[in-house]
Amino acid sequence: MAEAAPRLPDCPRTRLLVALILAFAFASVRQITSLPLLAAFALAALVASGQPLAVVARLRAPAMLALAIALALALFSGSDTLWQAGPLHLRSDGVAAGALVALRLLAIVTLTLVLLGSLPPHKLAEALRSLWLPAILSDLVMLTLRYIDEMRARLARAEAARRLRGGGAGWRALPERAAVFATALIHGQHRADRVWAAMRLRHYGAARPATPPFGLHDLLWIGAALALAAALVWLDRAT
Amino acid sequence: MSAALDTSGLSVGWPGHAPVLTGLDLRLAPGERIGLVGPNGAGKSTLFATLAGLIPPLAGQISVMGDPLPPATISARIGVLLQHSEDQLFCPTLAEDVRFGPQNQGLRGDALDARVTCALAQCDLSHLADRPVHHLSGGEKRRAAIAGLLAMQPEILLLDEPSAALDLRSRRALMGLLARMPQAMVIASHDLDMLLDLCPRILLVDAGRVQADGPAQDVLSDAALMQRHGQEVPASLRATGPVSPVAIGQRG
Repeated sequence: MAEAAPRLPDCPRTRLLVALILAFAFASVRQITSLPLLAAFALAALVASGQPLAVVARLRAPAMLALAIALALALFSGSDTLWQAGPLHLRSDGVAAGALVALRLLAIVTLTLVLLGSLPPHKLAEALRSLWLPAILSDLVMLTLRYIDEMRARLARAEAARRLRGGGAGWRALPERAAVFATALIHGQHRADRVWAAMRLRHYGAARPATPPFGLHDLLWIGAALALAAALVWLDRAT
Repeated sequence: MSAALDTSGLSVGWPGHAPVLTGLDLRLAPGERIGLVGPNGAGKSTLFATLAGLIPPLAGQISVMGDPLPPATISARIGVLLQHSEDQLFCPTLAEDVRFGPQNQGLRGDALDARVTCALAQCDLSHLADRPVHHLSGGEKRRAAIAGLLAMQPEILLLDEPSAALDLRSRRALMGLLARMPQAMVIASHDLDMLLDLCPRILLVDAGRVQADGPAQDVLSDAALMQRHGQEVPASLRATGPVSPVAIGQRG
């Protein structure tokens, strides 16, 4: 996917920085009049990704969450009633707050998916480490991503074994399912202990590779992100 | 000449638990290969964890190449292949995994690349350098874990069940690799035929003590001794009778 998105920075560290700068700027938007600008940024990011449909497909769950938040705020927040049907009140200030929260959320998630969604986990972990995140945390991210699928597969195998031995279905099987889950967690912890021992045996943490300086191309991307963020915040405050 | 590994009065066990192995006096010469045999729970893996510095000894001393090893100190001179060797492969690709150890030792640039290339070549894995580690076969994973150790250039190798769950071809490839390696080794295994091929000396542990320490042929062909400690005479010795020392030498 990285090859299919030439309009994005190549360096994972630059992508992470650009994502952070713009996400903070998006999160600081307070005026509803700034929302079209936010939507335009998100759309531009989608186009720049080179695979807008793939990104949109991954936006389904965040979109549902955003919609739920917007509806909840529109119906239960604020005081100026726009429309009423029985106990339901649609409130104008709730609609504005809902739109603001939902669109900010969608814009930030879109941007994150475009910039970081195509990075392999280890590249993301390296980028986090190069931005002065403690190595233990970045390695935790990498190892979590590395083993999460294995944990899921182990859980599926244990669940299949439970069903094959006559385990029940539905809520009555909840205690059995909890036992399967607990066992998978304990196995996971044992495995984590073994991986940690293996890492220590290979002198984990004894020396860290130096972080190379940013290139001109990366600095241009970071500068552009800072300028965009500043412009967005200034426009938002000015209106 | 200093022993590669020397223990005196060593007692091992997990902290807070009773010792599983006591009074171990072991001297491993440079380049020597020792097979460690014993039933499950005899303390083989615990002994390796202690020698590797993962847990402190309950009593006794450990020396590596003549230098005393402080308790619970991980030494660059000792490489350990864990029983679950797939747990040793935690980086995204094979080359990155082999790079992990020497990079932590401070190696950089061309020297690091050369070390990785050499380790992969030694284990006949050069063609798989960029493969994700979870896409390797069982035998390849075992050799990959060994490549990760070799890249750190240890002088002593502790191998815990290296041939477990390998098919015949992978087992043969692994044995060829181990036979070529110059390091001193202790190999813990239930694969007695493999130990007979690779190790001139056998240490039998059971019930918390060393029960036998001697030439592989003598220890492994002693049916009464083996039976007493829950072991069996290896198939190759049962089929052909005792093997002469000359034949043992030719095997290794």
